[in-house]
Amino acid sequence: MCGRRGTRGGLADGVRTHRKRGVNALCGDRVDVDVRVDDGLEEGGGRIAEIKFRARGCSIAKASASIMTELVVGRTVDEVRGLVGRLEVLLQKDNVEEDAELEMLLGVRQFRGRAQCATLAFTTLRDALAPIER
Amino acid sequence: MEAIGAHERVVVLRAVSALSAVPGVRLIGAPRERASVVSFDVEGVHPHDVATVLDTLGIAVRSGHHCTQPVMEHFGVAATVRASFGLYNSVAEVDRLVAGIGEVRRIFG
Repeated sequence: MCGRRGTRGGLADGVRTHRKRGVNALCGDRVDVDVRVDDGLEEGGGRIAEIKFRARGCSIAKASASIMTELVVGRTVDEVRGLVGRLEVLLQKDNVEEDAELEMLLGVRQFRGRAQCATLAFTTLRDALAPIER
Repeated sequence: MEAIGAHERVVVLRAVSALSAVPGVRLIGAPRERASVVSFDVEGVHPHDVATVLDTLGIAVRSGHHCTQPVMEHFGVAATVRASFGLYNSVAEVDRLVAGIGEVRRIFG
């Protein structure tokens, strides 16, 4: 698995691992996400402490999963939810809005049929974090 | 209709022959009687990526499950590229497809 770690050490208490598999039913792309959330006393649902993924599929699905891990470590769960929602909006048809943070992923706009490849890892992460209360 | 069928057979057989000769290309399925359709994959390149590169070259193919997940399982593949030929396609376009796959391999190594 590939991953990013934001903090080392720490206590086992207050750190939870959430796992989710996301599959694009149209093409078979598959992403497995393991995310550890430090939910100590942080507001925002806790902070992403570590994340790993395993992706099987096209280059866009794999690349976006890697980019996703770089973007989310250290963010709160609520911030991650906002990020995923923002990406989905940016990749909607005819949206030409710019976004410096997600710029690397917006190139997929020239291949509209590949938008789901780019969002798969992000939506899978969001699903993994779904049990965490807002 | 016979003339259309004959034309399509010429084109698809050219595709089968030409694609079989491309290093790294594997035809999926070997039917005794073939419709004017060829499914294949390119070693090391996801079919979606193959299709996107071909699209940039003006070559339209399909990629993915093709709504045939049991067949994909049978052949042990997650997805394939599928080229379909009709009366409006030509042998020259098959050659363009083969050249396009060369570009795919150049880009993805």
